[in-house]
Amino acid sequence: MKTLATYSIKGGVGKTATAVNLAYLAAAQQGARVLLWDLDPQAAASYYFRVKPKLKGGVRKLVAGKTDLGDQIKGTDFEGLDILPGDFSYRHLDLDLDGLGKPEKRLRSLLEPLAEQYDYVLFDCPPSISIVSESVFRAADALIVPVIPTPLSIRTLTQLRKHLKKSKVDVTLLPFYCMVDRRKSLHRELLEQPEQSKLKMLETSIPYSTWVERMGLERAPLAEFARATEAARSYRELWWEIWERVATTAS
Amino acid sequence: MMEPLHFLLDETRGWVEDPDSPADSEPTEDPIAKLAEALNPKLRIDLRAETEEQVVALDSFDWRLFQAGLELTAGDGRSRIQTTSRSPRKEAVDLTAETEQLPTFVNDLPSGKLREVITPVIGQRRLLPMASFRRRRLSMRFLDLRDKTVVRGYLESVSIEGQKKPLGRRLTLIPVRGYKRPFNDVRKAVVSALNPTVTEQSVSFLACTASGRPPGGYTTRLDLQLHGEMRADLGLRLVHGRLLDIIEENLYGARESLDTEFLHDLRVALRRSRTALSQVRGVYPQVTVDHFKGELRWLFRRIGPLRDLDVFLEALPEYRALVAPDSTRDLDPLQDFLEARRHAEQQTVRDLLSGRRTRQILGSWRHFLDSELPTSGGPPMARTPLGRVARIDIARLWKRVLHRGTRIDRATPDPALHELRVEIKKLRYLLEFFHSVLPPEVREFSKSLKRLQSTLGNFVDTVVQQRHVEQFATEMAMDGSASPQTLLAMGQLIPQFEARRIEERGHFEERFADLSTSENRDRMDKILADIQPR
Repeated sequence: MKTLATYSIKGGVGKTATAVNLAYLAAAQQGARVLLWDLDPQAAASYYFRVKPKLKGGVRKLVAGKTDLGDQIKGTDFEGLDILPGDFSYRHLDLDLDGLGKPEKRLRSLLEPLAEQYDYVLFDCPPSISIVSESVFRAADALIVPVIPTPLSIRTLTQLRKHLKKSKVDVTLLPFYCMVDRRKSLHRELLEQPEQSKLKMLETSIPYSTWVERMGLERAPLAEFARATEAARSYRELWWEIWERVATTAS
Repeated sequence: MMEPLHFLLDETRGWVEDPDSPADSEPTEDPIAKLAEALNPKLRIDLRAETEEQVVALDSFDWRLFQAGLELTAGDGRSRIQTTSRSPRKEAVDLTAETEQLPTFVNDLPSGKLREVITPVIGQRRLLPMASFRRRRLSMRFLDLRDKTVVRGYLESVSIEGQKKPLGRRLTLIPVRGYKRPFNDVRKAVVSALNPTVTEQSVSFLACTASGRPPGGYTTRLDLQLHGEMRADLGLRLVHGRLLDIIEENLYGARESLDTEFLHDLRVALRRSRTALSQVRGVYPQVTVDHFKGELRWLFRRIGPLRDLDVFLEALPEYRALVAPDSTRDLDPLQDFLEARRHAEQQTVRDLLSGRRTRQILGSWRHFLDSELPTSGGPPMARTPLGRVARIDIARLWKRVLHRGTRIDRATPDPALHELRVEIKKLRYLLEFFHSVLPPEVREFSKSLKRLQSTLGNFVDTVVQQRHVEQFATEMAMDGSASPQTLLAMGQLIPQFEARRIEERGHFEERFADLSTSENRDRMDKILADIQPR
């Protein structure tokens, strides 16, 4: 089982859309068994999949092992893809984890019983740097980091890299450009800078697209209602690029 | 976790009744509409894709895939292997592979996981088309008030090739994780609105059954439930009748050489029939016994040479590994020689099995077995209770096995081991024929017997194969089909077989000791209680 996470310190960069689309593609394109874990109290991923954002007993009991994680999982509309729904109680997950022993390792240990059931677990993380994110870093094999091509976003990526190095966290970083708008000269200039290679971005980038925004209206992954669009094609390519990178790393 | 549910919608009754009878009713109401009405307003049905495909269900003649909990189907350019609902396998399997043509043997399948799964199960057996059917599948989703999919499903309509009426329709409900209550709601609605029959069987299984080939229908096991108090002649006729069924079922496959196992099963059934004739004594008229012993022996011997060639050819890849690496290709002429010989022998067997004499033998044997039992007079043990007769004859054979076995030591010539093997086979056959009239201890005893038989079998095989190699070498040298290199390569096999012979012979003492323990003797005493051996 491989564990992935869409992560960014900044909000509104396309984490949830990426998590939803990649999880769907892994199941539909590859026939993998996938669990999407919606860690966000806003429960946007749950909303996209029409799943009630509710955990019986709340997240505190879940992470303390007092409720069974397996019992909380819901199937989506798509074969092979399940979701552990978001819940408003995730807003104090930091505190809940802090109250337990070894909080940074908590999420990883909760995933262990699922190893035989799923090929991929994908975390959709809230935007923050906190105990929750530290726990995700240690649970994940790879962090998928959407980056909008602006100087501040790139700076945030650099900060993340430094933090992971300093914390000696062994996780593969897979940043990619998201919401790329080639009409904007700033985006074009940044993408054409020679220093790009140092950032080690994935080759695939996701264009800014109203189709991605429509996901909230359609409440479905892009490939279900806008398969032929450039954004949908880009996500397909992104998934294959990530799959190739992840397939060669140990779990 | 919840499992899918399957229902047969039997408005055409094709699933269970005679499919060739005229349709007594056509479906008048759309089951989906009825179900939708029953679910309204809580849930609604969203119809999805409809697909249609021609499917062939494949398995070996003896249903090896079915017995292993697997199902192989082919159609539309691909083959698919899946685990069945009652599979003993620990992990579920669902694999496909591209196959332009219908696969006949495992080597026709492309390399990959599907072939890896099937090969150890099927071995050398041919994949036969057990049923050919057309399947139309309509996928659907059951949606709640938020348009969330809470249950998945599909409706299949199946028609068997060559049959007038469609077989029927099968509805499958697939649970979505975490939505147990809606799944139960849909299940209840199906039951109340459609009055279906629940089934665990796949469409493939049902199609095979409807085609007259119920999965698992062929077996070489006798599976007879005899009674100790029944007349011995009746019991023996039931045994012989079942063995004759096996002979007849394998005739076509052996004649057409569909695969080598048909001939093997045919021979084993003939051998067992002869054993039952010669070892269960005083039950049939002696003149009948002598006549049919002769007839069955004639048939058995005529098909022997082909079986020997099959066995050698199957073992040839293993023999190639026994010679020096740079000599393996020197055995190619041996393979060509054997295959040509086999081809000729196969023609002989084909003519034999489709010939008048074989038909006469089997016809007259069947006639005897189906004839009226004598009401008075007759052979001395005919009306003795079967349980007693079985014990008498088993006791005689057991005594013989012990007597022969204890006289074998390291200096005893090899033929004595072959003779002991023959006696053990006879004893095992009788234990199998009459297991239902014997106490349960017979099972444990049979296991020790089987182990010794296996050792002796390996031993005898090495002697036989050694002789064959020498014989083939002589013949090939005479007809010029063997180069000096080929003869040298064949010569390399002899010391290998000799080494094996010695090794197997070395196991004999231990295996016989395992069989003749006081524990086993006590077991046999218990099995044979209350009879005096003749």
